Amino acid sequence: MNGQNTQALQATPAAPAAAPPAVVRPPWWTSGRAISAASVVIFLAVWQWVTSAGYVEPIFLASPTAILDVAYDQFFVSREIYPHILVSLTEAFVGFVLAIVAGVLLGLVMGRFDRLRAVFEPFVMALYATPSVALLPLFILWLGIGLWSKVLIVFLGGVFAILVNTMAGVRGANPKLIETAQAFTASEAEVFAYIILPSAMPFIVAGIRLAIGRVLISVFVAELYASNQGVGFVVTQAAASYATALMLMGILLFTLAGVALSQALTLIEDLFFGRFREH
Amino acid sequence: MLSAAPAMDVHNAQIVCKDVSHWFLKSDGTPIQVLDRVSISLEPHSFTSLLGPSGCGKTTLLRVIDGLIRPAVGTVIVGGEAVTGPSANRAMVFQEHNLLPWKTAQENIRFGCKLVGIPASESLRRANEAIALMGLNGFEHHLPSQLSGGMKQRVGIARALSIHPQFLLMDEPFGALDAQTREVLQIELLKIWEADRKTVVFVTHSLDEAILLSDRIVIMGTRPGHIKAVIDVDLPRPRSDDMRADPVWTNLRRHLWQLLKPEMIEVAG
Ligand SMILES: Nc1ncnc2c1ncn2[C@@H]1O[C@H](COP(=O)(O)OP(=O)(O)OP(=O)(O)O)[C@@H](O)[C@H]1O
Ligand SMILES: [Mg+2]
Repeated sequence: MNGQNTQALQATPAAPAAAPPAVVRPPWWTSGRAISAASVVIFLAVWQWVTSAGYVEPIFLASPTAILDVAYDQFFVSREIYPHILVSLTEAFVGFVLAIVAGVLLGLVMGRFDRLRAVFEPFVMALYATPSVALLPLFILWLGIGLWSKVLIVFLGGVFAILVNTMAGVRGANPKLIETAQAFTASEAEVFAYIILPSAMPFIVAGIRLAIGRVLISVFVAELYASNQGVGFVVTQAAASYATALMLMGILLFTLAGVALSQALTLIEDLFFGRFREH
Repeated sequence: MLSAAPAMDVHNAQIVCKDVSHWFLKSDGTPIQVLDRVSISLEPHSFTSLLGPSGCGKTTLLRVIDGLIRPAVGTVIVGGEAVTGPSANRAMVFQEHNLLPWKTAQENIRFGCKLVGIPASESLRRANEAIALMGLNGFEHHLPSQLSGGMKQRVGIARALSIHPQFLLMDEPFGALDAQTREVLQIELLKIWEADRKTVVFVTHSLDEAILLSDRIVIMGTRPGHIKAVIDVDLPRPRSDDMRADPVWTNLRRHLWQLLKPEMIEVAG
């Protein structure tokens, strides 16, 4: 065995540096994606079998095909779901955008200026720890059951995750890089723009990712609690009338929204902020 | 920014520290003295090394000269002007390269230029010039994480050189490198320095590095940091590695070690 190895090593320099040895590709069905896809298919099949074979009452769990039927009706026949989607999307979008803008700006400022942080930190920490949906009754009292009480809840649900992460990113900026910029005569604004913001970028993106889940929960709970429109409202109504397939379809819409937002964020991060990731 | 700098005057090109003392606050809030009445005067176009035990205040003194730290007591005059903050006529090379991890080698070099107000087209020209000078061709578009330690230091030096400073402050630039890379870079630095003889302050822990490069070696003592001795290096220029066997070199080395040894033992003990 050893002797063979030595021979092989000695033979190497003589051989022309030509083709590399053929790399054996593992079969496609052992890749992570293939396994994930198979896992989902099997899950759906078992679900379908358990429900359509009558092991579970349709009231408790609708089959995947029943959910598809309802979705087909909602999207292409009765078309009743669209106004609800529009309402939910508006609440989520306005609240989320406001949360991103305020969270990033406040996080940057609070991360950089210790005194300002000292002023606001107790409130931020208290509100971050408070389940913001618990404030909904109060906001309905202030703003009614229309759009703005929900926007406020969504905003509060998302903003602190973004703020706290942005602040951590700013404070984590490498002081040696800051000093380097200063040695090249950088002003405070230049230090901020060229060192602190890029350093905080991965944290800002992580905060936004964290906020996606909280925003969707806020939309759902707000519509569930007090509303006459929105996908959350559809889910509540369906549940009340034992329309389990419609209820599950509504919940799946939230799932889809969460996955889509998360993927979009990954895409944006790869396109624009990939370089700022920790090295 | 640049317009405030005085017209280039060779005879102004010197560094003077007068009775510089400085204190830092310890974590419990009590002050601790790191520099004690440091006075030095460096000739125009001279290469000076700072030698001293770890923690004696070499980096602090360099930061004071650059203007990153205002000393509690004393004045620093560089090129005839009192130092009140960093300036485009001084450039620092840091011990740990301090490159921005999200910028390529070329972008890092241009970043320094941009901050001191050099226009984009000119900074590109200078960056490419520095890249060629420092042997970085082919690596301009690599991120620091894709560069070896020696390459990163080259980029750090290129970044400093490309703002065309009159004064170069180098804080153990080769300290983190392996012995071979270090010797290669020492020789390159010598060549670059011979070409235009900037006024250089160079911090090092290596006696041989100090002898090879310097006109003058400043030995610092510790607790608090002070100047212990100033020694001229009487070796002809241009210098080369072959001079290591020269009796001047070996005697100087022995002398330096005698001066440093008690300080080192104090720090270690
Ligand atoms: N920002 C700071 N705050 C408090 N103490 C500091 C600070 N910077 C440096 N010191 C302390 O001041 C002393 C001198 O530090 P300095 O970095 O100047 O030493 P040095 O001679 O460069 O050491 P080394 O050879 O290890 O780089 C050390 O004891 C260090 O712990
Ligand atoms: Mg140091």
